[in-house]
Amino acid sequence: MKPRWRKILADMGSNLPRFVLVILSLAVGMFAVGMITGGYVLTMEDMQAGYDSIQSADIRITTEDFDENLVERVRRLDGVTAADGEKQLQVQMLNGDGEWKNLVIKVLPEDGQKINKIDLLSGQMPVGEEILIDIHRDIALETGDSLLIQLPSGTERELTITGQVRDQTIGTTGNTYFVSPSYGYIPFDTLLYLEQEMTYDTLLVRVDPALSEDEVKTLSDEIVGNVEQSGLDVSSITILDSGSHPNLGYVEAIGGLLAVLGFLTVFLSGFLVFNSMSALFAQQVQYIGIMKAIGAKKSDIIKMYMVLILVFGLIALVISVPLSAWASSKLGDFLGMRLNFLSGGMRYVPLVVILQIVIALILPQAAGIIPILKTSNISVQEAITTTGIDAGDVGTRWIDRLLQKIKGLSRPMLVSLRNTFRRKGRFILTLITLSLGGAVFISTFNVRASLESYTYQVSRYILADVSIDFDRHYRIDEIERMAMSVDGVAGVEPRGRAITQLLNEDGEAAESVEMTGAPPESDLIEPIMMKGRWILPGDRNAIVLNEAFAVRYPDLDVGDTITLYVNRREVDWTIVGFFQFLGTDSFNAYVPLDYLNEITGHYGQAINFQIIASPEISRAGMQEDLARRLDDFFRTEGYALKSSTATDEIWGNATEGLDTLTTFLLIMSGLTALVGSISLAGTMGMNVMERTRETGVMRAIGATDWQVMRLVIVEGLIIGVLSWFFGSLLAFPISYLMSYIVNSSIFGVAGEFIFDVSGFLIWLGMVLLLSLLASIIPANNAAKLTIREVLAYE
Amino acid sequence: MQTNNSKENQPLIRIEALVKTYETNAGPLDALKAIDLTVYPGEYIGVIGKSGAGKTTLINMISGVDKITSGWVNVNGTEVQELNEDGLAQWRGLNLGVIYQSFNLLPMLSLRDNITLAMDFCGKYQQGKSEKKAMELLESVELAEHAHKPPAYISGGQKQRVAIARALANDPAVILADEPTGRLDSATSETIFAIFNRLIDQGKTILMVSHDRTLSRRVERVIELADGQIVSDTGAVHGS
Ligand SMILES: Nc1ncnc2c1ncn2[C@@H]1O[C@H](COP(=O)(O)OP(=O)(O)OP(=O)(O)O)[C@@H](O)[C@H]1O
Ligand SMILES: [Mg+2]
Repeated sequence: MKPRWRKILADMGSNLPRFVLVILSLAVGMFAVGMITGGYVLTMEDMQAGYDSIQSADIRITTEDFDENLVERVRRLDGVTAADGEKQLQVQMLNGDGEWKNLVIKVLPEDGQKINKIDLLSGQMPVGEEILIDIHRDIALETGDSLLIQLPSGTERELTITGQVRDQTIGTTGNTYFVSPSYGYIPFDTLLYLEQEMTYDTLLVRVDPALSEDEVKTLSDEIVGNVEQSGLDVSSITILDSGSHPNLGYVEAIGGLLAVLGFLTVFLSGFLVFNSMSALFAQQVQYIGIMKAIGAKKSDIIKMYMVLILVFGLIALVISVPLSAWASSKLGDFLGMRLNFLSGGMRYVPLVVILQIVIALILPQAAGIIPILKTSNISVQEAITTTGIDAGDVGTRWIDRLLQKIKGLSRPMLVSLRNTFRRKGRFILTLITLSLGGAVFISTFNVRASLESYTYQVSRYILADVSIDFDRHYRIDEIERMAMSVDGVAGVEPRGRAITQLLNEDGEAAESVEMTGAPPESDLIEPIMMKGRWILPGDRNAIVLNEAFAVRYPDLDVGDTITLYVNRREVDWTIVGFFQFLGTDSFNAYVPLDYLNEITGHYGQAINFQIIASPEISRAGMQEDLARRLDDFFRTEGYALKSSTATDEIWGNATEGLDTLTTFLLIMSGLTALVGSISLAGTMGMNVMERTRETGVMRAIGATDWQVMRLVIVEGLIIGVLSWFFGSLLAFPISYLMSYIVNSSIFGVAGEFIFDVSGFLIWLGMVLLLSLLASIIPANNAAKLTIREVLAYE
Repeated sequence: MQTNNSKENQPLIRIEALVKTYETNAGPLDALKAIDLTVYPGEYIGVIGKSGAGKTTLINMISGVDKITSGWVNVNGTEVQELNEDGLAQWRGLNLGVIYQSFNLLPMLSLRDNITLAMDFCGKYQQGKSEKKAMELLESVELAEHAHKPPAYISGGQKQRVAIARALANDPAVILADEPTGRLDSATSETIFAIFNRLIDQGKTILMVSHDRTLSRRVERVIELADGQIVSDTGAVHGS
């Protein structure tokens, strides 16, 4: 090996901490980029592959009971690639914690699932009085346990759990994934045991993927025609997006956040690398001078250090590639568990590895080129006469003049203050790094706050405490009287529901719209209006539409007329407003209850009742108990009760999905805090090392250990506080961007932008602590140096 | 080497009207004012003068580590002021051995590698051969047994001997030394002077700055600088 390379190698050996710092700062950045891009790619791939494999339905039609013959007929239609019959049954179950919860039981078709296939995760397929349970909600029961259920009639039945499944279609219809109840899956024959007819009531269809959107609609109309020919009434038609997992929005939100984080991390680690390299070269100045004195050309020097940097990049690459691939897979596992898809385990994504290689080749060279050029330009005589004490820019800038003017500063305080600004470039970069880290940290709190504010607002659509659903309409005054007789009920409000359809060009019924009839004077609904107004007393055929209309039919506006099939009649509605709900793709609308009843012929009747609990119940948090008592009461009285649910249970579940994001945001903020503190520790370490000689001089003139340490610690704290200030400012645009990304991927709207003071305060505490920690070790090192060591240093 | 014998009467270093002005905060400072100097091969020259007289500046002008303000310096046929930085580095590595008061060894390399590094930068490095040459040079300064130690493990006098060995790595005709014994005690200084004597015997040309009071009896020719000018030049073989 040539002596020059031996010099480089020996450099590394004799100066390990600095080299390790450079490599670490590189590796941190490359790791973060690898984990972020890898995690995103793996998640998207796994989610897509998993969802493709279950053959999710393109068209879903609910109707009256039918048998396999209809399914067979639909299968033979042109453009249909598969069709299945399905039946869903809503029952109550007693979970392992002894609580009654909603359970939706799906019937597996006789000839096996071809559409919306479930993945058997453990156990085996059920036969007879057996059931499979989906894993997305913990029911505290295991395979082999017996599950007690209560049928709508009140009859109780026992089923043995034979295994666990994953059903990725949860969230495609009705409720979003996070508010969906538990699901169970039984064999077709078991319907009898559950007092049901051996029929289907839902038709699932997969169509030729080559069909255009319009062709699918036409095909859907054809299928509906077929169903109606069999003498069956169609109650709903839904065209689904079979290509994307119902929780894709969450992954997109997370992907968006990851992109912001990844972008910042590249910057952060770039600054970090630049700082650590500058320090490294500051130390090399003298050696470069010596080498030049004995004949080294500038190009020799540049080449030597460029190669050194290349080696840094390669080492960082070797560390970060496997580590980030591992972390990506863990991220994928976490998201898979939370967002209902199967993660495909650890693997290297070529694109990500290539990205990391490119970064390894470019980032350190880019960060190193300035310090290298600067130091290689230094003249021999300048380098050789370099003393240990480097004044930096002291005394030449406005900041020093400013410091001079501040009266009452103690001498040591003044030294700390001046030291802080001494290495201008390094100080600025450290400040930027730490400020960015802090800004991301603070932003995560703001994003969480705005997510929570949004969920809170959405929860204002159902201000009642308990919602009870019946299987048929009942007289409003009768149910009101009955409900009020239950202890703890303070008020009752009726709701009508109707599945209605949009009309296609040929004037036939097409996609379904879920319509809710509410009393216009209701104060149990606080809508979020996007445009126009809510229904008012005196309105007749007024209708407010949800965001799905605004997205799919952007031409619709307030004042327009929309025609819907209601109860097999074409009804014209005047649009009075658009409201914002959970960002679902399905169509929802609110109309005045009386007018809806006029059309459906259910005068003075309703199918759903919103119950307001007495203040005592609300205060004691006994809504779930009230829901259960109402359930018992109406069943005992012989009413066809479908379900009785406490609304806070629904919102508890809804926030679960957001918790995934929040957890994720927290991990993110932890990461940025880590990068920030590495950079601060690096800076403080470098500052102290550079001032070794000067520290010795101070010790020689009588400074105590504590005084020396305090100088360093105060300097660290000054940087910390300044970074907090700038980080807080930066948090505004970053929070705004992140909230926008998250809200628009999940809810489809920008959402309200909320600032949470706690983020600012927590970060202040953390940054002070971090600065303290980041400066204590270097401070301690500085204090430990003996005068002899320092002054004898050559 | 051809210079030493064949061109016995040709000057090795020729300096004419050399001026060096430093730009300082307090205005321009003339460190050297119109220096004329001729050095012949094999001469052993001592440069003396008060602190700030311009001794180091003169050495730096000859070795080309700092820019000449005006005038010209010719060393062994090369116009120093006409070379660019890289050219100077290469030329210096091949033709000059420079020795400083602070020994300027690289702390992370062994003594032997400090010497071979000088060969490497001048493109003269060949694995086995260069290492053998380095060992011979260390042998000549009686440090062969320490060859694989780093500089931190040897004394100041030993360090300076390594620095001399390194200056000789590429067999230059001229040795420039700026207070080589400035940091050494008198006994240790003796060993350094002894090595210089041997080098003169071998035909090298040495220009040495020194505060040593006994300098005048050690060297053949003494040049005294004061305030950037040569105030006396005694013992010049060919006059000046
Ligand atoms: N880089 C520089 N910038 C400005 N002035 C300089 C510089 N180097 C030297 N000088 C000034 O030039 C003059 C000559 O300096 P020089 O170092 O050559 O003196 P010297 O004779 O070597 O002194 P000493 O015996 O103390 O080493 C001095 O006045 C010095 O202050
Ligand atoms: Mg000097």
